[in-house]
Amino acid sequence: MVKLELKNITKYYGKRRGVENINLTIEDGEYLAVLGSTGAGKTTTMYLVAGLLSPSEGRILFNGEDVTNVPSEDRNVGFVFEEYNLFPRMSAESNVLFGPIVKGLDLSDSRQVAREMFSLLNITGKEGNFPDEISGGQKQRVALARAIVSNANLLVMDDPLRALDAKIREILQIELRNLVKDLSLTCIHATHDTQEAMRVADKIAVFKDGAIVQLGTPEEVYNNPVSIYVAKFLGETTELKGTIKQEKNKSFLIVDNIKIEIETDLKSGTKAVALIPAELADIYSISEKGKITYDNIIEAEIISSKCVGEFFDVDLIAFKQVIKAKELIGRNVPLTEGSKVLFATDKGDFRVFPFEEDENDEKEI
Amino acid sequence: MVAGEDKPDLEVKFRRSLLATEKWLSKDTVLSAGKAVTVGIFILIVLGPILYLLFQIIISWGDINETVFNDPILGNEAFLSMLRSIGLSFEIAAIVTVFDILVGVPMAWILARYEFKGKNILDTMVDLPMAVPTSALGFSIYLFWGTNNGISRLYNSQVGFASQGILLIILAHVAFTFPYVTRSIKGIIADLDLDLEKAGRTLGASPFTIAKMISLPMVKEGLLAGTVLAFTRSLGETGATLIVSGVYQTAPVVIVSWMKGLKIPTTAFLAFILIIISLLLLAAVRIFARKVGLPWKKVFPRFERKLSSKKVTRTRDTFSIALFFLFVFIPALFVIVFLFQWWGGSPFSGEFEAGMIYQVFLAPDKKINEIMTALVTSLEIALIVTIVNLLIATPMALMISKMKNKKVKGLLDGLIDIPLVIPSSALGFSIFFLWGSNGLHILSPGFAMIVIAHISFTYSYCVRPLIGSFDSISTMYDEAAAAFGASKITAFRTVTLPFLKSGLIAAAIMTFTRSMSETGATIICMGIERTIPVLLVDFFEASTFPAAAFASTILIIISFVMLILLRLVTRRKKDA
Amino acid sequence: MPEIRLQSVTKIFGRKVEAVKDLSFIIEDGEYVSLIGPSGCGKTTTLRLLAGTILPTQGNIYFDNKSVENLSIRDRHIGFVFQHFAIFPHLTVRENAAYGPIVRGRKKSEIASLVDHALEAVQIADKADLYPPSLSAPDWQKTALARVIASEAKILLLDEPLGALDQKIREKFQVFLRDLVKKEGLTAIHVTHDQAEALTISDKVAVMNKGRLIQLGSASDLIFTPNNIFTSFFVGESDFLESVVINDKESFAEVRVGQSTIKVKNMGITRGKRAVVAVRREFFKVHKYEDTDEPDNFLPGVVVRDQFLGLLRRVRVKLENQQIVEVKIHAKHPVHYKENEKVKLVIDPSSTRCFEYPKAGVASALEM
Repeated sequence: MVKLELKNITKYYGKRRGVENINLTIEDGEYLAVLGSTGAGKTTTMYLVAGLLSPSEGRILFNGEDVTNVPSEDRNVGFVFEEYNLFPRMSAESNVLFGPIVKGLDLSDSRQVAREMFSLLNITGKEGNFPDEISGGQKQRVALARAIVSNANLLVMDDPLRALDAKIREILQIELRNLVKDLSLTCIHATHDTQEAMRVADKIAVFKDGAIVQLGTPEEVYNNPVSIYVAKFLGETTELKGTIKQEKNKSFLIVDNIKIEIETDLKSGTKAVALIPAELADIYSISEKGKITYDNIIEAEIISSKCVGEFFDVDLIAFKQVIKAKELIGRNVPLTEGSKVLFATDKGDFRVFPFEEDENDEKEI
Repeated sequence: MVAGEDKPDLEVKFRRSLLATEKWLSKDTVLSAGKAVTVGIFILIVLGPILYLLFQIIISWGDINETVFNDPILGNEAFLSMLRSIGLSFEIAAIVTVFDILVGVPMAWILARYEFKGKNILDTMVDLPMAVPTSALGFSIYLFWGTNNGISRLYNSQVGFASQGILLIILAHVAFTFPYVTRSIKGIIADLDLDLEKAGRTLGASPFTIAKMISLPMVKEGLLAGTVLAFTRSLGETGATLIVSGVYQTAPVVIVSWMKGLKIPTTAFLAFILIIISLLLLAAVRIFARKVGLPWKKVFPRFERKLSSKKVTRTRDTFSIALFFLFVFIPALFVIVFLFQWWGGSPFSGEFEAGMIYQVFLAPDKKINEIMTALVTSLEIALIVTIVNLLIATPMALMISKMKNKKVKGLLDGLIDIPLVIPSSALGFSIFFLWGSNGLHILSPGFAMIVIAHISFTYSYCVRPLIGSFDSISTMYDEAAAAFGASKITAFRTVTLPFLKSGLIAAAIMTFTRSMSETGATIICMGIERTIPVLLVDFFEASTFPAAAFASTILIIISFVMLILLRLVTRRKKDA
Repeated sequence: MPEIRLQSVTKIFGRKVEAVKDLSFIIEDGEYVSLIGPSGCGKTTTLRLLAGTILPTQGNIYFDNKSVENLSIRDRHIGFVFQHFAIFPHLTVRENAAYGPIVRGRKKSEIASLVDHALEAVQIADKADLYPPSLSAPDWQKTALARVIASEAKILLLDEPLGALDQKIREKFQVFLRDLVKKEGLTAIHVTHDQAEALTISDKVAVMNKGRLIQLGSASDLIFTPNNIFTSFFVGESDFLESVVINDKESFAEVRVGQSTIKVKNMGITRGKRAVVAVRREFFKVHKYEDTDEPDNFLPGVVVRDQFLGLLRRVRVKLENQQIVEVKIHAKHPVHYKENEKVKLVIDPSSTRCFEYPKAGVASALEM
């Protein structure tokens, strides 16, 4: 049972920055997702927590105790790697029992625990198989069992599902969360996938270029992204550029003389960017006019629409530009190309930021 | 389309006929014939002599029985001395191999894992003894340990630290076998997945425990292969042993001396025994390599943690490097120091006539002429051997690499290792036996026979790296070429060959170096001409040390250049 | 113009590994077909069988009604695009593109025009004289495509062609690839692990599992009218309700799930038989139990978790029979559900699928 604290952690690889000035507290039993793109410092952070790297500066505390200089083998951290890293010449069971053996634990107890883990993770029967004889999903389950069996109470996972098929990933996300919660482990889980982070975690820390840019519950992060970068990272969005107008306690973004009601503290006349996430750009058939209540309802034309499984990906023309929309399948909305529809948004749907030239140049993610 | 374009121009004509030829060559029947020829050549050059020797031993058993076991005067003395020499060879090989492993494994770890200035230099230093002809090496080691010019100067002794004999043989063998163990596992250690070790650490294992339980099992095969190479190289070495052995005779030295005495039946029998032993070793290793587990399974967490401490590891590393320099590197290159000591005269008396300049360039028998002639002969032989071997080894390597039938592949793969493990003097003898007057009677000892002997024992040195090169070329390129309409041979020329360039050069250098440095087989198959390693032995026996030192230094320089070339080629390959 | 037909094709590796089993389907001339399925389902093997790099153990493959059994890979005139491109690093982009016509002994002028056309078609003419190692992944991909087009192949086989590209570039390439294939009039077979890619790019998608073809159909066939349990499960997300048919007379059959009776699509399963009702998670509607103005085709349950995911919300509901099902609803759905709150899971019968109960159980039908 561990409360994990990172205090002013900085790690440089020579001149290259790994992470800088990371401050993070994970309460006992909390599940934190570290979300970021490649090179954001996720793996560095995971390795620092596990002691596979030592920080250039800063301290790491487990339950208030400084472990910064404790080597990895003495930290009692369960680590799950992206590429599983199962020992290739050992059976699944030997892999799982490796920890207890090298720690000199009582093997009969450990065998019992291992058996329970195998059954909990639906891999009973695979004990004798070697890693190259089982599927990716099973490998990661073995790796998970291995990480947990030797009494680890802090579980560190470095993009554990990245190498797996989408279907397995979706199944394992649920299994992972349930397992961590059932065993009341403290858990830190790095991922590049927003949906995965939101699905498994109690809290999300968004990393960019080696620093934490936002920390909060999934809902907080999603509803109030602190920057254009975060807003874009969380999902597909469309950018609207215009000028702010404050009028009778209401805020508007003026785009090409069209008024869009938004929520913002920016002053009138400020140039601003409003991002509308595709899934919040709602589409209704024209006949619904007057029956729906939204802050902004305008007519739009669908220019393309394709079904990609759970959503229709729709491009439509509104506010004189192409807006990307995602509509869950199963609604009765005509989404054929060329048809006129109602495009509806609420003021809270827009993520509004002051317009800055250099933000514009920001590398696409 | 313009009318003129209907007539194909010269380029198109040429290309079409080339493509047609290649297509014909790619026919299954033609390819099968090619494969048969490839295997045929292999059998003729490598397996044939050995099989012939075996055959002759059986049919002329009566003869052998008489000379070996029931000589009218000596009784079974010949057999007893065979047993003695073989026993001695085994003893020496075993001691040498143990040293190689104890020092070579930490050395490989240092070279694979640590980053430090001069790492490349150390790496080259470790490889050097393998490239230098063993007779030069043996001479150098004799000078260092066995004379009052070498280490004994440090404690002002008038005699060497060790006289010719078992200890000196061991010291010499340690030097030239050392690289085999290090080399064969260094690459594997460098390629080990570091993430597995990280996984081990997060599970609570100390570095020593991880090395023992995770890393070493993965280098097991490589280590075993290197050990066998070191062992068989020690078992079969002639050149250096001739120089340092004195009255003690190892089995290969016995072959050479009996051969000189023209005791053909007894020599044949000894060669036969040596070959059988080597083959059994090879077979055992190939069959059991994967199955043999490492002897230790139990973990002692506390003790192993202590072994992992910085102090212990640092001590171990320092020891390995120090032992390497003391027993391998410095003795191996001491001849250069000696050369300068004796440059213009004896360092003891100052006498000009005893010096290198006089002996080599001014004395009436101008050794330089002999040296140059021998050098040219050696270079000619090495060059021919390299070219022929590339021609016959490339198809073999390709065939083995692409072979689908795993059993046949394993068999061929094992067979091509044969020249690697059997003593070159025994192999040389069986070639003499087959091609010379006792067999086909096509050749008499001389240049051509040396060439054939060299082709035979360098064959593996050529095929092995080429198989590696072929294996490393992804099959997707072949498939792509085929999908676009290329026949197999066209695909080979246009796609495979460009990938192979550095592999071919590496194989060529290995073959060339190995041929340049051979002594045992050459002595058996030669006529009046001398190759330079053999000349060195002659110089040594005639006690013209400064001249021998001069020749040795030339050989060391050539090997060094070859080694540097090899490193450049293989490094570029890694970058690509 | 090629039409591809597979007839009962089986491929066994070694003695017993059945990579592909009894595979039969037709790909029409000019069609763009994707193969999807879990790792090891046989999709790559199928592609290699078509290419001729491996031969079927049983069955036959026909191009335009001609068996290709005895055609070697080079005589099939197919274009193969590999996941790792397999472009020749020692040749320039142009030389790569020219490889096919050169080794087929075409005339210089023909080669030039074929290559020029190909380089134009994939928009890489400006980099024609560069060597692949100096280019980036998208350019490698283009080079590989140019090489195929210059070789005049009419059948294009693509093995995870976009797998090595970044997500954003992938999406652009999907459009580019489809347009190219259609413009050049090729028949394309595309293996991918990315469902969205398959559904966007192709005319038809083949779902495979354990070496067998599960369903071949258009994107909307697979999503809205899957004809078996595995497709429902693998394409998108569905939940499966084990039930017994109690009325098979109407266009909507009545089935009993636990203690409740619901109407589902009548797919011909007779009364008294066990059935599996597949419902897409997007098609469930969840309502507070007290709501009375909703249709009464529902299952009662209690909420396990109402999880906000931004993109959408997932409400996990435990039914009376202890099965947990999941409902996907709009992120801004006005009602929030508390844990253990009693709810109705409303089902629109026309959106359901009702399959025969698999002999070995639902779990085995979903095994990948």
